[in-house]
Amino acid sequence: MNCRNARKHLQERHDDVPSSQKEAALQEHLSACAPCSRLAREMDLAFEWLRALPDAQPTESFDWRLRLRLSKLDQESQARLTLEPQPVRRTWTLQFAVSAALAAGVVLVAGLYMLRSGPESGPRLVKTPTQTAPLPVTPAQPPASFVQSPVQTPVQTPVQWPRPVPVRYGVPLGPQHQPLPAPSILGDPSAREGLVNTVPVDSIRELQWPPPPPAPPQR
Amino acid sequence: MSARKRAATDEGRSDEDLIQAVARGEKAAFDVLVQRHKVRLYNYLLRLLRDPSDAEEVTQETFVRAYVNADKYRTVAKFSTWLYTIATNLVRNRIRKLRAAPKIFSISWGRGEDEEEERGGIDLPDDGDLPDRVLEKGEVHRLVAQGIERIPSKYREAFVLREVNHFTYEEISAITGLKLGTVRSRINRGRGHFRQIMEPLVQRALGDTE
Repeated sequence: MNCRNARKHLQERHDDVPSSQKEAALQEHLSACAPCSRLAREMDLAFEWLRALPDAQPTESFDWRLRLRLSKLDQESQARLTLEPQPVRRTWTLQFAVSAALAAGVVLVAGLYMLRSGPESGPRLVKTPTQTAPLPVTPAQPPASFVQSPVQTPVQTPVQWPRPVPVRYGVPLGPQHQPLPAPSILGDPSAREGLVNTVPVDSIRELQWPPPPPAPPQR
Repeated sequence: MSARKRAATDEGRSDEDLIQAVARGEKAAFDVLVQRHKVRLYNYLLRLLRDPSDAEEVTQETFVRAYVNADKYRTVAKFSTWLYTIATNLVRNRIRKLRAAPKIFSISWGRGEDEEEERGGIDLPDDGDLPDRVLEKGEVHRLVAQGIERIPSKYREAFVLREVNHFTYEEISAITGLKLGTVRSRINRGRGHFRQIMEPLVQRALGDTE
């Protein structure tokens, strides 16, 4: 065993787990090595002193102070136990308070609604039962003097299909109109004037789509 | 059953039975647990916190938490493991808070918390006037306690749990929440630090005896 291993085993020896083989090897080394032998004696003495170190005592007041703290804890826990049923009462009170507040709120909202809707709303509310009374099964006959006004039914215009082409600004679109004349005519202002507004507006509005079939050519 | 008889029977019961009895409402059973564990727990916390009043406060808080959460205890772990887990978590929270606090509030913590990585030796008494002076037992105890406090806090927790409170590696792993290999390594590193810190004192003592 070398010095390094010897010093390692010297520390492990304090763990109360010495193997006989290791211990024998250590003793052999210590008998031959003076520094390790001195170190072993130093360690033995230091740990002997450590084991002999007397226990320090806590102060005399330690026990009663601890008892005082524990008894206070007990009292607190007892108080907590006696107070435990209270939350049930508290929930009852809470429920009652919530329901009372809700009811008050409903009454308040209803009151505000009545005030805002004016005096007319009051009688209407009062009349409500009579209005909701069941109606007679057979309707009452009107008196002889009763003159029934004629029923005006809305006049339904017949739907044309296909729909007429909307005509605007006097320029209808359709094949019945002749194409514009040749540029020679366009060049003549008088002729051009003749082409403009040749179809009266009233007649244009009456035009329909599809156009009526063209008249047979006259011979 | 009289109170004395009940106390006598409680003392014969295991920690696990007692804490389960506390959970069922037998408040007196908790007194027995406090008497069994308060000194060892206080010493563990004293080694970690280095201040007696802080250690006492955290010891009280640990017992209060155990009392309040007695119904949450499960028998999968030993009661002592559970109790020390609570204590260790409280210490970690406390140290974290103190480190986050401004320096002016951590004057008492300045002693070694920042400079602990320096691994300085213990303050040996000046024996210039008395060269042949043999260290007194009380003085050795004070210096050993001082030596433990000088171990970096990272290793001190596992070291104290192992060397002072004699927990097994598995229990330390459960208490600290570290893996078994990490626990083993930290304990060994803590031992190395402790030996280095105690070296001058031990050498003098050995020189005195040799």
